[in-house]
Amino acid sequence: MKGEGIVNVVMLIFCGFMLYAVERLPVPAATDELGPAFYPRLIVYAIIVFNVLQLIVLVFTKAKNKGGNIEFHFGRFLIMVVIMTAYVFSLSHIDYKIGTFLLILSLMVLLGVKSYKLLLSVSVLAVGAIYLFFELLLNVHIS
Amino acid sequence: MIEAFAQVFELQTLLLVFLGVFLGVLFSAIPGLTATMGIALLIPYTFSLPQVPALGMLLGIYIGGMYGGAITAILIRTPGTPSAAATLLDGYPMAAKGQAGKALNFATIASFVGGIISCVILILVAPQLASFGLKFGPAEFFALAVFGLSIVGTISGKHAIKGMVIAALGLLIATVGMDPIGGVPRFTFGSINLTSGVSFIPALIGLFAVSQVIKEVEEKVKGSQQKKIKFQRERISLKEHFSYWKDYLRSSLIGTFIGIIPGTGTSIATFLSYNESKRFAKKERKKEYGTGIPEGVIASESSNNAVTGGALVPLLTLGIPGDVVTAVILGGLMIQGVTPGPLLFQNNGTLVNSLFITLIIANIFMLLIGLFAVRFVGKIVDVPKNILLPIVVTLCFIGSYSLSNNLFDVWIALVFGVIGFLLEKFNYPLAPLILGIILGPIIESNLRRTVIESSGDLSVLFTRPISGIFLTIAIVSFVFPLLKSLWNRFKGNEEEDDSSLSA
Repeated sequence: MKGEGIVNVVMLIFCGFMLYAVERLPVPAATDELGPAFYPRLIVYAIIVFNVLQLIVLVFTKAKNKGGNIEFHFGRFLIMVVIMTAYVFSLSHIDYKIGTFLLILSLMVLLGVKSYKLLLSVSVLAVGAIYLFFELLLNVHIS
Repeated sequence: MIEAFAQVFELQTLLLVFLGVFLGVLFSAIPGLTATMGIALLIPYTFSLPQVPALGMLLGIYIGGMYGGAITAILIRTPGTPSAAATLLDGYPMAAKGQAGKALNFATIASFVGGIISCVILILVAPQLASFGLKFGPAEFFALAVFGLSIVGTISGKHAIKGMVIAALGLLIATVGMDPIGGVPRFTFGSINLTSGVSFIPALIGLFAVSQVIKEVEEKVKGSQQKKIKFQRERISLKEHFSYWKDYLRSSLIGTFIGIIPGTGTSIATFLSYNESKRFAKKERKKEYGTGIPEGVIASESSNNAVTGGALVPLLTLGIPGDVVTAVILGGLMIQGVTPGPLLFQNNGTLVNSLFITLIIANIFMLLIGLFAVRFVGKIVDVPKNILLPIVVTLCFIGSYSLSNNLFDVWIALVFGVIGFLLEKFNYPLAPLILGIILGPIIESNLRRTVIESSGDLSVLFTRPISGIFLTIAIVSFVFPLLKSLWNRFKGNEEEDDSSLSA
């Protein structure tokens, strides 16, 4: 429940920021036009209402809340995000074939593959297949 | 008619239609690649071909492309196309229960039935239906999109309020980019990449596929021995298929109807069809939607393939493309010297008949390819996850990039992957987010057009019959489940809450 409540609070803070951004949008000159700010403002208000409703439900509900038992292994999640971010970042700096090889290799290691033969063969074959299909066949030049 | 048959049953035509269907299935099964891309890539090769084989190949890709997305949606929770997003709601849980073969089989048959029913409707009543599609103005489009959004309660299961939070968040994400009426940049924060909005397909790939990979990796640390998905080929008897005839028929009709209305798209059709399937189900069965039941797969797959015939109605009779793929097909028709419109049926009767026969042939090829492919592609789930997941995540990123050769799309897939993982961690359903992103632009642009056309009088939304009906149903199906859900939560009766949502 605590975790879920935090999500609602984060969303409410985000809504505050979005309302600030909405207020900076221009006001329409024509009287019969709703303008660019009307619809996003409406949606932000809807998110606020639903979040408050959800918080009320969390506080007052009698039902046993499953959110209280959320297990979150932050370390492995962080490693995964760092690996994927590094890969996407690498696409504009090094050859994608090297980056892709390293991504597949590192993820397989993270998932517990220990055999060197398997690590190397799968990574090389996957890079080869991607090169053949995307670059040669479809003419997609990955930067 | 005999001439039309002779044109279609030439070896070259049949081979090219088969190739088209095969490529369509292949393209849509790979995350990031779409049928639109396949058609656009192949159009130059059709220049030198005669009319019927050239157009047959393009229609083949269209039909194959609608089906292929279901394969990866069911097997690895990666919808190859937006039209398969609703398929994974029950398709992947079926695979997780060891019924991957059965789910694929139902998806194939449902796609075939949907395609054939929409073809028959196209052949029989195309001109009459086209005029109905033209009755849709901004008010009707707005009402239809709101009606589409009202299914959030159903697809969110017992997390109805969370579903609404997430759907609204999707609507907000859809406002990023240029304002649809005035062209004012909104929430772009100075980024040129954001001026065209958040790309939908990378977001879809991120939300469902990348988040799933993060989840699998994160869960590994728990030592939780997840039940391994095993692929088993399961024959489904005709009797079993016939037991779902109402689902096949209802979903096919919904898909055809939505397809006829230009600019609506397959995603609305699949989610609406899923909602209606659940609404019509028996009370006990309603609870099982989302846990892996054939009705969910049938609803989504019948309707998305039925859109093909429906979308061809305004294309052939009025020259109006119903979606992006038919817009590209329109380009292909023009290149072949065919001008769609009311006169097409009078001046090119043989060609029109050839196209109708080609559509049926393409659906038969799709059925054969689908049933044959099930034997092999299902084996994907037998690949150990520690090998499959790194390849899936790589394909997600490369596929996102290949959509528009833009690295920003890869960042979108990554960011939405993380968002999707975190939302699921806190029991937030993901499908409403996708629904919000899809329907957001339709809702906003048509609401604002309605206001401009009616000089600020919003009562037209209820006084025009079609929009009035849609909006009334939408309000009821939005408010009633919400109130009932709240009531059950406060009473501490969550089990009943789940079944009541689709009322």
